[in-house]
Amino acid sequence: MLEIAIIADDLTGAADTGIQFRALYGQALLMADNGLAARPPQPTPEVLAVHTMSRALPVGQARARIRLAGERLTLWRPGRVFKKVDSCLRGNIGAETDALMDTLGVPMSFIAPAFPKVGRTTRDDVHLVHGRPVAETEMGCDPATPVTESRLSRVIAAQSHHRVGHVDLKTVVDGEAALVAAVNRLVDEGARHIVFDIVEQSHLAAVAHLALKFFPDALLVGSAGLAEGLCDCRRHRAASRPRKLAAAPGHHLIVLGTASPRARRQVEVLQAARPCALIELDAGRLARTDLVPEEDDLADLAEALANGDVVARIAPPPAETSARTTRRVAGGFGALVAALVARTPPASLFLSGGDTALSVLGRLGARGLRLELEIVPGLVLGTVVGCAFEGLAIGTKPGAFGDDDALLRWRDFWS
Amino acid sequence: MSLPILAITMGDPAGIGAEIAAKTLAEQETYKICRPLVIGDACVMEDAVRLCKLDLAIHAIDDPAAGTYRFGSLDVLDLAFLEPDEHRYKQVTARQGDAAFHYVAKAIELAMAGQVDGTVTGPINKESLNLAGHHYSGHTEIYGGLTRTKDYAMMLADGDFRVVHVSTHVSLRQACDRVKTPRVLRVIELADAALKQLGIAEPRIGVCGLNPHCGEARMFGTEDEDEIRPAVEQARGRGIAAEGPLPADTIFSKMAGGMFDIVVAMYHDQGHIPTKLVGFKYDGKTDTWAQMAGVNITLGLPIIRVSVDHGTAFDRAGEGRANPQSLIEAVRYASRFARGAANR
Repeated sequence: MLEIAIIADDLTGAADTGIQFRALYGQALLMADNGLAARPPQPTPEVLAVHTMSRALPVGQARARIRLAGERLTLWRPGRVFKKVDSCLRGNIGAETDALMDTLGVPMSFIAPAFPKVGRTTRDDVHLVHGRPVAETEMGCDPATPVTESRLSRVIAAQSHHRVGHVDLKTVVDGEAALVAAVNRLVDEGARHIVFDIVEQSHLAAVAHLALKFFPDALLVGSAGLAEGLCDCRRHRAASRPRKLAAAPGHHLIVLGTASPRARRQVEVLQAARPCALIELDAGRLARTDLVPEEDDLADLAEALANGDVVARIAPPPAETSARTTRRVAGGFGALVAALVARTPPASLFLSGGDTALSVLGRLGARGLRLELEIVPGLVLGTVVGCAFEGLAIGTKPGAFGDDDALLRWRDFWS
Repeated sequence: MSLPILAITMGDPAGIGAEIAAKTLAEQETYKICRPLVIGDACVMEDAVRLCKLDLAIHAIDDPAAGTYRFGSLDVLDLAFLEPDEHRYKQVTARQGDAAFHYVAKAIELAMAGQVDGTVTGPINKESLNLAGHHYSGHTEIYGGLTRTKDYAMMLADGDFRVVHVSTHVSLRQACDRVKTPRVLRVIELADAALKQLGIAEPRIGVCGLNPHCGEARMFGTEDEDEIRPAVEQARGRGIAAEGPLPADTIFSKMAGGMFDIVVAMYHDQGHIPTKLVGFKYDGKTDTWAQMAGVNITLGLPIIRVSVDHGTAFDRAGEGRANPQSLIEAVRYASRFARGAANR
């Protein structure tokens, strides 16, 4: 039975939320919304993480895409639906929550995007990143999805047809009875979205508990923090043990679709500890060869991978790139990596960055990933399902995410 | 009800798709029956408007809700797939094939999500499509794949001359093997439902035989008696006014004379040849198609899809001489379907 379905607006978010529930329930499947068939596969996974890639879409298209995903999802009869959103408020949170509520026919939502463990909190309705209002951080000038408002209730209201109510920190801390009374009062006043102040992980567990015990029809909307809070409420369940995975023959391939300083540092730490070839690929060349990979690049990579581990990375692109170029670079990288995997199958494949992961999985023809385990927070291991590369081990993480030793931890996992 | 929004895909940029789309939206009549939205590249549409010397302003948008849908302003959902120097008339290129595929994929997505009420497709080039890595034999198969529909059928229409096919893009040998009772019955049912959606209360459906003279009592071929006749009988048992199998060499003349509203053909050429004989007129003196009537409709999909019934015409692309008649007719048909769907 499908215990829980996650609808996330990006791939890596779907993966790192899905893996949390996998530990609780059992088999977890990650797939794109357009992979949702009319009839679920048998046996149905206990956890389904769906990515809609709608974070950067125009609001109308995002709303429509979520509505369609929600309609398809109802055929799978999930026990509960969790709406995964960005902990920095990027994307179309209000519109997507509205659409999912309408499609599922639920009367209200509990929205708590905070993730205190990584410095995302909400206080007095202001969403903070390491203590600064989110719109005043680098999220304010995000090239694809800038966040221009820090008040959580306003962010939601700007895209929603429904009234938004706010529960302050004192009420959250005061406990169950105060929370129930506050939510009931806001609902009586006409609110259908309830946003919460959150500064500690325990507050997220309180919100999840509130939903499970008193408002079972409420749609939970949050980041990995709220997902963890929901899992905390279910800890009485026996944890599901991960499968034992053996490394396939061959060498390990690490693909970095990001030029972030953090990703560069992760490579340095890996190289200092383990031998691996670092191959930098020209972004312009990748953009020109997004439909048919360049044979020279493919041959170089294949030769390197035949002889040892390889890190393939995009050389920093020029500062000014259009959305078209960005899309083509990701497409070119995906085409090249998929061709490489077909020619020289790696022992494992690590994909950093959602666009890169999406592009590679698409070119491989994968229907999705079976989520296996979380190696370090945010770094998820899955295996390919639904194509010729069935069973290939794939790691994903958000591009600019993780500690300096994240890649090394990934590689060490296979030793 | 408000007029339906129709997503009109631009087709392969190397062909005449953008030109016929511009000419169709230059007709005031188009705006009386629908709200047309071109799905493509704004830079290519601008070129088409300039080429045809049309008095239209390009309005590039990123969401159907942002369209103005007013005559004189051509709304384009700009997917920005091409750099201006990648747009090359008359040339098969992977880049343009890729763009054409994504225009169609976006139209399907919008229709599936209810953001548009129907889709109308401009011509694509199969070679370009395959060069770009999209291995489909045509629009119908793209729609089947992306909407996850297995049970669909191709219908051609030119006014009241309508044909629906049991099979299309397979070899003749395979086509014969596909004439099976369940498939024939399903196509009859799809035809009946489509015509009712077009406003014909009790459609009369003629069903072709497969073999000459319908096999002449099994003397040359058994499919007519063993596969087609049972399908027709089952359809009649379900209240559908179907008749057949009837010899293919006369059934189309009977439809042209008013006996049937639609004919079920058993394979591609059996239905396509008579339809194009009726709708296409070639002028040998000027080496041009004087008439290219007729549209192509995919039945059985969860969304509306009507298409022109001609190709990309690379040989005359970029010259401003393309005939928009088939696209104008496709828009009319799609509008009728959309209004029929809204009234159900």
